[in-house]
Amino acid sequence: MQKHVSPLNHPLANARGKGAAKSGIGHWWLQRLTAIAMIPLALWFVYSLLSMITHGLSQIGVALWLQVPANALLSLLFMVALFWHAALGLQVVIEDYVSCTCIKFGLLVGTKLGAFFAAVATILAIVKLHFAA
Amino acid sequence: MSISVKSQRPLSPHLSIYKPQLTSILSIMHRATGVALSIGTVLLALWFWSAAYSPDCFAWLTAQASGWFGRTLLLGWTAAFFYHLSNGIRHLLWDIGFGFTLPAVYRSGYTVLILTILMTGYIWCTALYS
Repeated sequence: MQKHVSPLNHPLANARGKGAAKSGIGHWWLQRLTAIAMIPLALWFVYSLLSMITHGLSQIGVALWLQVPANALLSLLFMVALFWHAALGLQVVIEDYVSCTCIKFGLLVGTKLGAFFAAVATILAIVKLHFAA
Repeated sequence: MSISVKSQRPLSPHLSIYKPQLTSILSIMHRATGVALSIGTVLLALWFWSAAYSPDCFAWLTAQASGWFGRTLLLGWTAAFFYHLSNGIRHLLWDIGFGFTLPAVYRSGYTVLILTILMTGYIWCTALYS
């Protein structure tokens, strides 16, 4: 079995492998990584939304805003981190509060696929608006 | 093990006699705001999608956002956003071993609440009156 060795693991976990969850610190670490990424990204996004709202929010305004490469890039990064972070967080909530195995499994699969679907749809929309003439 | 034995086991914490503290309330609020914001992400995806593929849907969403019902939802999401953001930073500081004493935990807890109110107020004052 491949060992997931990291200074964030308990020394015993490094010695024995990945622990009871079988995935080591993977989930915990990605939750933090996406959180750290979103501190500047989310503040930037809210600031951008606010300035669009104060200038009168319109579909053309959003389209023009996404034509700027930096805005499209940061929007993509923010939305990917957001859906990833949301999927990981919902997973923990479902695992903690839903005891019925059948419903739990359905909700876990549903949230993961739903987040993936919404993320890809959002990427497509941003790319389309960015490259629209 | 029989089901009857299993169902008679006590649940912890005993919510009916549990005295809530600031720490436990803020902890469950982090999860609650996280779930609320996750629901909001679906709307955000729809917002991007409609901007790209359906100007009519975009106009409908914008109209809904300026009604009283839409504004109530958006106000809730704004507060949930700033709460989850500032309490998330509090969690990250704990992760690197900072602010673990009980007075520090209460101080950072009140800071999170004050920041949430101030930032939500700032955003809505700017959006409505500028």
